[in-house]
Amino acid sequence: MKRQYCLIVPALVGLSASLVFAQKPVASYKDLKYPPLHDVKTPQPDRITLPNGITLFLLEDHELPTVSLSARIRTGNRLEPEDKAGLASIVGEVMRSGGTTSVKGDDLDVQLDRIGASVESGIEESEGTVSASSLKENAPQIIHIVADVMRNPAFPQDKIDLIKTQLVDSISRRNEDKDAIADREFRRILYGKDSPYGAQPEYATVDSITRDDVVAFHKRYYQPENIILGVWGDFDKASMRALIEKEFGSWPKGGNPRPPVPPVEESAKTRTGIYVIDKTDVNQSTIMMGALGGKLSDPDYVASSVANRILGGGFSSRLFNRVRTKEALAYSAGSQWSAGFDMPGQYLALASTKSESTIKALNIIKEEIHKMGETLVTDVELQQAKDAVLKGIAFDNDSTGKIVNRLIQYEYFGYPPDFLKQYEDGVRKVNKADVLRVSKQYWDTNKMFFLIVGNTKDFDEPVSSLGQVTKWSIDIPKPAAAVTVEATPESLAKGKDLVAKARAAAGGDKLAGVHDFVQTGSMSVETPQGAFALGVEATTTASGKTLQKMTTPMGEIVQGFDGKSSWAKTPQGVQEVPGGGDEGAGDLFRETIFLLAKSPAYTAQDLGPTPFGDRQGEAVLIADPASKRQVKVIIDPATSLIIGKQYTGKGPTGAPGEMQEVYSDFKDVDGLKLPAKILVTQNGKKAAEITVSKTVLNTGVADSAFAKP
Amino acid sequence: MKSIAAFLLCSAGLCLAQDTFQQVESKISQFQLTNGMTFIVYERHDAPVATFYTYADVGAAQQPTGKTGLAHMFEHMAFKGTETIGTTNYAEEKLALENVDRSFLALRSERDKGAKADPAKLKQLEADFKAAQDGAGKFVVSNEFGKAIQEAGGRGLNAFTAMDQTAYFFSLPSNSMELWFSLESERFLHPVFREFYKERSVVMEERRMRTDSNPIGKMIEEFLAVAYKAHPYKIPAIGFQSDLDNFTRQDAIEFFKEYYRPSNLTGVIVGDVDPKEVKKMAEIYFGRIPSGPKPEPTRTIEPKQEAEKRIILRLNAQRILLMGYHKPDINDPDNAVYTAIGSILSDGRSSRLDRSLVQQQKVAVQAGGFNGFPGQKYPNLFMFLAVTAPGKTNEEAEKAMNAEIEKLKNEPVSKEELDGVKARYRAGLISQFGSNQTMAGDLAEWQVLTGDWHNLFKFLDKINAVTPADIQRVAKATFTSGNRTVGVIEPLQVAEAK
Repeated sequence: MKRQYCLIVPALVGLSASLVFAQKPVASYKDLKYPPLHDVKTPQPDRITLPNGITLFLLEDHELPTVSLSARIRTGNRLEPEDKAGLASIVGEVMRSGGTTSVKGDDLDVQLDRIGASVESGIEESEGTVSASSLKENAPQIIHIVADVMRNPAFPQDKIDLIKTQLVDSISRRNEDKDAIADREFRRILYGKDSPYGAQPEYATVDSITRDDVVAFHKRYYQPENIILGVWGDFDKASMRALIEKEFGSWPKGGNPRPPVPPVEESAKTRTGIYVIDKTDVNQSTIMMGALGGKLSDPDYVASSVANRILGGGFSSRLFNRVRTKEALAYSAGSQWSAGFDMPGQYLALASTKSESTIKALNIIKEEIHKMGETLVTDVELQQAKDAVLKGIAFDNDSTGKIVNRLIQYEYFGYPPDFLKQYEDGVRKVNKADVLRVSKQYWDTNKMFFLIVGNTKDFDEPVSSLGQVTKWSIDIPKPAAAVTVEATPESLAKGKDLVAKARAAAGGDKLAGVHDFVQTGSMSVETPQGAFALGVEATTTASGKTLQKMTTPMGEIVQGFDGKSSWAKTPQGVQEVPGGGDEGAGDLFRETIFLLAKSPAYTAQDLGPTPFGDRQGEAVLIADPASKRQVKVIIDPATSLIIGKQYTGKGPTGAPGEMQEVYSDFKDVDGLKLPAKILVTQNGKKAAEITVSKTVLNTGVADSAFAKP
Repeated sequence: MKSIAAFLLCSAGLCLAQDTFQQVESKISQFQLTNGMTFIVYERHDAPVATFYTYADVGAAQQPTGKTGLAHMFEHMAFKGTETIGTTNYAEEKLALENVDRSFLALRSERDKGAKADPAKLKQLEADFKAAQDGAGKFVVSNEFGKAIQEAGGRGLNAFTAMDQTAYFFSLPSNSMELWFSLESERFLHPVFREFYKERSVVMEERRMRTDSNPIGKMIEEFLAVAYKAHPYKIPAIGFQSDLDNFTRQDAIEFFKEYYRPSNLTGVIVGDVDPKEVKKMAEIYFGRIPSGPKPEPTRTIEPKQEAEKRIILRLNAQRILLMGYHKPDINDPDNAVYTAIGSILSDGRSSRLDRSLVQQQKVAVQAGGFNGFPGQKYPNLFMFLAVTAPGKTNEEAEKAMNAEIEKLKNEPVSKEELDGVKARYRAGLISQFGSNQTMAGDLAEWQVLTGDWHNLFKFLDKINAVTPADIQRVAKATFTSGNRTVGVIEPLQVAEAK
């Protein structure tokens, strides 16, 4: 936010003999000779196990008067139940934001902000984390807060609700950035979208999470024997150890077994195919191709990581040189070999290119991948890849925080403390034949799957030119309907009866004679600054098309639904509305005239009497067995007219929520009884009021009127 | 006298921090070459590594009209090598590159005819242009510059172009320091802008990624275009498509000659190096670059805003609110007051906007206020941002934001709250002393934008001097409706008649 940056590369992964310094410039950097590297001793942390099972790393560093802490807890969002996706994030966040049984979260915030310190917690896929930092004089206070937050979180309902709102918001925004979509969906396709590694929070899963779930999840995993702590900075080891023992020592063991590592689905091992996500508002595609990889402990890891550097790791790589530099098709192009610590990771090649060169870029990447498995890499390539790792070893230990965090990670996943050194020794031994062997084995495009996120209509060639295509949906599932009452033969019979009466009251068979109708009127949308008035003309057809013209102070806005997809025409131009097709069909299903006209084909379940505004109504759940759509209608027992509806959908401002419509001022229109006033509320708050001044039936409007201009 | 002052500070609890500042400052030194290039060195010997940073006092704000994106394009060109790096035969390559330039100009002048252009001729000229590029491409050793650094174990090789500056940086094991001196001085002594026309396409992809396909990127571009009417801060650093299509290699060479003189460059090294060795090598390597006068300053000053401006961007995206108020540059005596206001509003979980908009009123899921956008060298904007909560409107978020702004004007900030700002600033400064790259960037920025890197440290004194009255005074003067630009993203489905 601070500044606008344009970086030369999106992100990059990242020595020799001795002479005195030159007195004049060397003719070429290749002639440079370097003095030996200063022999700076790498500090080693102390490793201590407390009687209650906490593992502790301590490392003194007196350069600056600060103290930092990092903790890992044996848990992870891969352990949450699929229908409670989001639970682990809520636990991680509210542990800190909600405060403890003795200090409110808000008070903790103030305490920390006043001294420029921080304590934060979270839960990622395979671990819980706590991190803290402060000036050295505040260390006792910080360590106390960390212990209190881990041991005694209060989990107040208001902070749980707050993070739930934030999760709902992030769900609603998750399809805005194509690169984020590609990263996320690549993983979900690979691991299985409902597997512990692919499931993600949805409106319904977040909604179902209760405080009891949160408390239970914390209790299950936050126990001393699941905790590894590291502290580094300007302190004396003995006093820091005493401080940690004071704050954590009295925490008794929990006794729960170490959490298991959920297995990866068998089908992930053979994932192939071409997946496409169509995004109509972008002019660049993100292309990815890859497969299930391995673990860091696999014998092939070392050679695979070297092969990946040559293929697509950074400035010297083949993909960077070919796709970016030579063909100028992409700004970001490369490959990744992401091995997991305790589960198979993924590897992939990727590039972002303009829509018009999507297939071309994809084929070039395939070609480069293919070459890796065909011929030996050159001596120079291999040496460069090895040098990039081995000559930069000094960076692995250039801060005490890096050293402690690495050891915590190795401890957590059961790796030896010198794993990095073993890796470096392994890199020294990799030869060209090793690189060829692993490339052949893993980088085989016949055993990979492909994902393209982009605006398919502008592609240079149809995606089908690549083979059989799977359209991958990223539509956000709607919140589950709030109906829990079990249907019985009685309630279904009564519902059917009530709806039949409502049909008769509203016009009977005349309803089925309506092919289209046009309503004109005014609409006022609620905003904090007051009501915002629009003129509306809405055309609806029985064949399932709608057109709404709205007159606003910003100009005319037209929204259409041609039966398949929705579009909008604003002063900014015409655009398709993604997911609008489903929205549009939902609106049509609920339209009273057609709902009642078609009601003989629907099921209706009586939900019993219900207070409705200042009246008493009878609630009936009408459902279409074919489309699975449903809506709750409220019927006035006196007149049998439908006086309201309740459903989950989008409000007049586009935000999703629990909607309610209240109908009044019924007028006779060619034998039909239709409301002239409609009050719309969203989540219990007034959202809009519509006044219908005129309704004309069967205008004979042509189908072409609904087509996207 | 000095020891009494130190005693007083210590008794006030500031002893520790004060010691640290003095220790760190004493490890920083500075020198200037006779050609005008400035160097700053911060010695840190705890690990045998160092970060090398070149700061050019030129950014997107210096781009000539009709050639937007050129500053950033030059940054990309700086990775293409020199007369000896990245080529198999420069003498022949030079001729081939001139041929590329000529064929591009021929193609461009035919394209300039628009509808009257001869399609057959265009086709021929395009083929010629491609052939010329292929011809020059034969001499290219791809990405040799970057490879040289990676082979030496270098890390974090990158560069950026912002409104105020262009910066180039990477880290090396400290014994190979001379590699930086060699490569970096060659880069600004004998640069060759090879693959220029291809790299334009790469930059266009960068534009598609950052701006065209990204709702926030789109919003910021539109917002700045409206908030500024005269000053170049209104022009996006990435440039406009038609300018990218039309500028030439010669344009980049002119730009280089104007802005990449030693007097306009600052080199910063942070890490395990000896300042005496640094100075010696700087003279040997960078001393070769001929001196030249400082470039002409940018003289356009954004006129006073006369009316509130508003934009609505309708996208397939959820709601966002941005508000910006014009304010003075980094050297204004009140700059610390603006920074303090930003800290009160958005630093930490107890900050005002988070408390009020996110936690209490729940009209936003994220909210903040920041000093210094899109740059700081020239008068800039104090920005407010709210990511509007689901089911809430931008109007609700704006109303809540305005109430917090009014509070700044009408109620004095408490001593405790202001003390928190000061404590956070001090702690933040101390922790950044531990990062070579952050320190390199900050030392360069304070040196160039304020004329003296010591201001990085002195700014803490300025923050410490901010009073509740300062905050009210500055808020009243700045946060007025006539000085405001508001931008919102509204979802495309604006209204659904029921």
